[in-house]
Amino acid sequence: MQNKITIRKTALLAALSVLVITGCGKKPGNSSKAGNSKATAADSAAVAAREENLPFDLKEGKRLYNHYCYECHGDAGDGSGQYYGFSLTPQPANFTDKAFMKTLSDETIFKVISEGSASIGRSNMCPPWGKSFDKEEIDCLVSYVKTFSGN
Amino acid sequence: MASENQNSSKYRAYIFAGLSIILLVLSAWVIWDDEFGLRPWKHYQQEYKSLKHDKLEKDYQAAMLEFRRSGGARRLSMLEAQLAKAEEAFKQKGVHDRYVQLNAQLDDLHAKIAVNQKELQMTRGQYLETEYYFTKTQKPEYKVKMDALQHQIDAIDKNGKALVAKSEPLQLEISKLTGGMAEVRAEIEAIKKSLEDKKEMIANNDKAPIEIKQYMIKDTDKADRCVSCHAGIESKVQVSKKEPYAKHPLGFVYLGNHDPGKFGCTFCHRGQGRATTTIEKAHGNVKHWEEPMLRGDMTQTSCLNCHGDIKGLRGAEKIAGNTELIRKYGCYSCHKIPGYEGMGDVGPELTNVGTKVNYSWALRWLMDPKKYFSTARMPKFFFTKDQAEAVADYLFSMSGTTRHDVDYAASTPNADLVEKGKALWSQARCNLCHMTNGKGGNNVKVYAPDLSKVGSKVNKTWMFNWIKDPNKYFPGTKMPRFRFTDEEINSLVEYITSEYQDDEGEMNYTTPSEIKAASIKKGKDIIQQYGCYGCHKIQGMEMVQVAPSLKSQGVTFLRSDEMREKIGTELSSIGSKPVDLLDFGKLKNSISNDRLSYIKQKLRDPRGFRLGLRMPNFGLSEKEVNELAAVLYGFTDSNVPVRFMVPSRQELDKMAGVPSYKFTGDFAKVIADVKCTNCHSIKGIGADYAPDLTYAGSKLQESWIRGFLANPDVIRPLLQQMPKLGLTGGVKPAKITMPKFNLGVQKVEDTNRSDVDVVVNYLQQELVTPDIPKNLPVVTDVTTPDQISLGKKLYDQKGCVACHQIGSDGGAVGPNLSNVGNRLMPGFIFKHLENSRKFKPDIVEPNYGFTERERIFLTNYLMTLKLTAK
Repeated sequence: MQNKITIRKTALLAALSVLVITGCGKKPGNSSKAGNSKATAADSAAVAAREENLPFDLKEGKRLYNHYCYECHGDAGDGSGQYYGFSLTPQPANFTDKAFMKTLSDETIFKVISEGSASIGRSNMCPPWGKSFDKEEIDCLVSYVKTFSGN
Repeated sequence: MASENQNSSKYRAYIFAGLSIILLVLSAWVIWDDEFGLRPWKHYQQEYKSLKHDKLEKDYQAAMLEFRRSGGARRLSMLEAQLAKAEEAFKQKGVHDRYVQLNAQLDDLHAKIAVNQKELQMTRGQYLETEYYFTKTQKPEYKVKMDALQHQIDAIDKNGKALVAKSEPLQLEISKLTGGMAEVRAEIEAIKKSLEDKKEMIANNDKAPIEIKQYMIKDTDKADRCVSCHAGIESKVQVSKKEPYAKHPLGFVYLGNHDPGKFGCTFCHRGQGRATTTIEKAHGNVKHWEEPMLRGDMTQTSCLNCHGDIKGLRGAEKIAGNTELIRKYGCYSCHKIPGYEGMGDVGPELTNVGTKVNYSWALRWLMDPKKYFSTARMPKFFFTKDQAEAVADYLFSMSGTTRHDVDYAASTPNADLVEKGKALWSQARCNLCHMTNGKGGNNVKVYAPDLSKVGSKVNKTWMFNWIKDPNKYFPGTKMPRFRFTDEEINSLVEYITSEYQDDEGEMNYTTPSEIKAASIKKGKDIIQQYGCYGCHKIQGMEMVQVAPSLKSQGVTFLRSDEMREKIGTELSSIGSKPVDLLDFGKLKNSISNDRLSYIKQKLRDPRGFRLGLRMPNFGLSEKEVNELAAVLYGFTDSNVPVRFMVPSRQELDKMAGVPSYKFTGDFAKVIADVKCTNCHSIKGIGADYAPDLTYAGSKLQESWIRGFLANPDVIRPLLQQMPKLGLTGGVKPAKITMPKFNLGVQKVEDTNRSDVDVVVNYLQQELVTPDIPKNLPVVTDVTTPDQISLGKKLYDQKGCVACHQIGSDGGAVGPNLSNVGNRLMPGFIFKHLENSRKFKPDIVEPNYGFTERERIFLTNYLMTLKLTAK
């Protein structure tokens, strides 16, 4: 009996560590891959499982992004949203651009989301969300937006 | 002898020495284990403290750096010098004496004011007392006394005011003498305080004792000691992302609305709140503890314990989405589930199914619905061909028909009609609800059947009658009655039956044959055994006329008393059912013996546990299994205190004795006929597919509503569009309003109203809110043209163009505003700009925080945007 419990414990531990490792390890790669969206049925199950294990802030960030941001910035974060985003001038920010994303600190991204793009001297197209979101929600968005570039 | 003695005592000494060492080691181990081994939380708290110390120290250093960088230090020394100078000046004889003198005068006055106040209070008290006696006794002498007292009060009050007035110039002069000093002191204080606060926080953190911390919930005898290790859980700043030091995710929702001091941890997370010795024990992952800790999305399952309305609840998005599966598959049809009573049948009515479908189709469907359509909701009952035939025979004979199939050879479609029907098909936007060949069906929550193969399933006569009046065949269906003419329906039927054919249909063609009484009886038994009447209406069949030839063979149909209320196990408390009561059967050794594993396995393979189980297989995907299991896990009978309960709107109405909202009058008939609530939500009734119409009367202009109903236009270019339901305008009054099955109830004068009139009237009378003003507040100091141009300037400045289109320019996220001046009421725009989320909590439009004047200007500008009628 004791033996069985130990085995179960070990199995649980192993499963947990796999979860943790997949959760942490695949976090950056995940979203950039999602953009290609050539997932087969088997892949989609794997994607679902991976999403299930995303850290909370990324999951919440993704939920918010896919409701409020993807319209302009696109599902893949490349600034080619289907709701006219692709033909806006200037085009919405491309979060998959590694060089561009490196120039932005977390604080800057936070500021743009909460006070709008005009607050850092860019166009007025991205509206201020600070009065609609809680600070923590914006934090989640910042974390999620950064995953597009794999940084 | 002596040496022998010596030897043995030496020998004993060794044993003694050995035992003492063991004792010593054991004692040391016991002390160590007691202090550290059994108190792992000490380590975590220590670690958290040092992490927090580092973070606070870092913050402090950063603040110091910023203080120096921004010249804060210089500013501080400057201020201090300034203060010293001022103090010096103040100390000069004349100034100081004057200050003392003034202060003395002021003190004197204040003392007088205090006396005055006391006197006032006393007199007022006397007045109130007298007034009380007067109201009680109505004796005039009290009235006289009251008047005198009132007089006195007035005098005292006047006196007091005079005193205060006298003190004011004194105060002014004092502040002139010391004015600079007070302000400078305050600034110095503020600068020092911001840094000292940080220092104090560090000191407080270092001083904090290492001890068991817990949330006591006395009335439920809970002591959640989780915080002993998860020391940072309540913190607003993230000290470390590492567990157990991280703060609670989305704390402003979960902890903000559920004060841990009152709710504890284990009401939501389960686990073993009192355990502190090991991680496994605390998290409940040990034998004989049946409530392992819930984490991640799974925790949302606990929302179901207290919250009646889960839809739209912040933080419960996942579980709210999952509960839709209960509705989708109609679990409540066979199982008793609290909150899902009276939901209506999940499957279509089968009373007359024999007049509707082909026999060969019925057989295929009964045997394996998922094989026929991968999206089928009906589960697989693992019927053999004989069993399926028996069930079909029963259903067909019940409808008074025999086995029959469509005659494939006889049908050649009329190309002309097909062409017309195709146009109607797209005009009525059938694809909005119905999927065909993998396309459409966007309004998923109505669960309209896939029509890809419908031409081989139903016969044309039935389809004609169905489209003409769906309520007639299936009262309570979600299919609206489109006001097509008979010719239109004919062409639509021709198009649908010719376009959507099943290639395999002909292969399964059966020659019509008589139904045998024995088969009907067998079918009845099967239906009774598997409880088909849970999802489909087969009830009250004793009323059906049995054909004479069958009657003589003893055929009877199911009576109400032959149908058990719910065929399945009650699920009210499945989420807290003791594991011992779950029958793992032959899977006892192959799956983990816990509640969640059981639920999931039951959903995956309902009959896999042992022989003789009746639950059908729904062919759920693993994702659906997980989601559904999460919901079921939330159905508990745990002793949640009543003070936690957030009843649903319905329950609240019930408690308050208020009837739930119901549509009234002719509008209710229009709704029952056109099924507006398939897409729109009105006062909490209906779906969230199309805009909420609860305040439509305050939001929309009448002329626009009329125009839109007559000819639905595209408001959101890339989003869903409203189907043209063929509502009559004011011109054709006779045609409207009534579902045919309700003819007798209809009053004569009502037939004079068109359904559009009924809708518009109801919107304007019922669906309004005082929150939305009819008109804008008026601004007088700016001319109207100026207001409009200022509004336009704001529109351009805020980048509205990114989401809204005016003319040909702009985004498609929000509605097109080219004609908004004809569509919306100004009061609505005004209120909407104040708080966009007020009327739709998940609206994409952010809150801009406009001032009232800005909102007025913007509204005035938007109201000028009008398209002239073509």
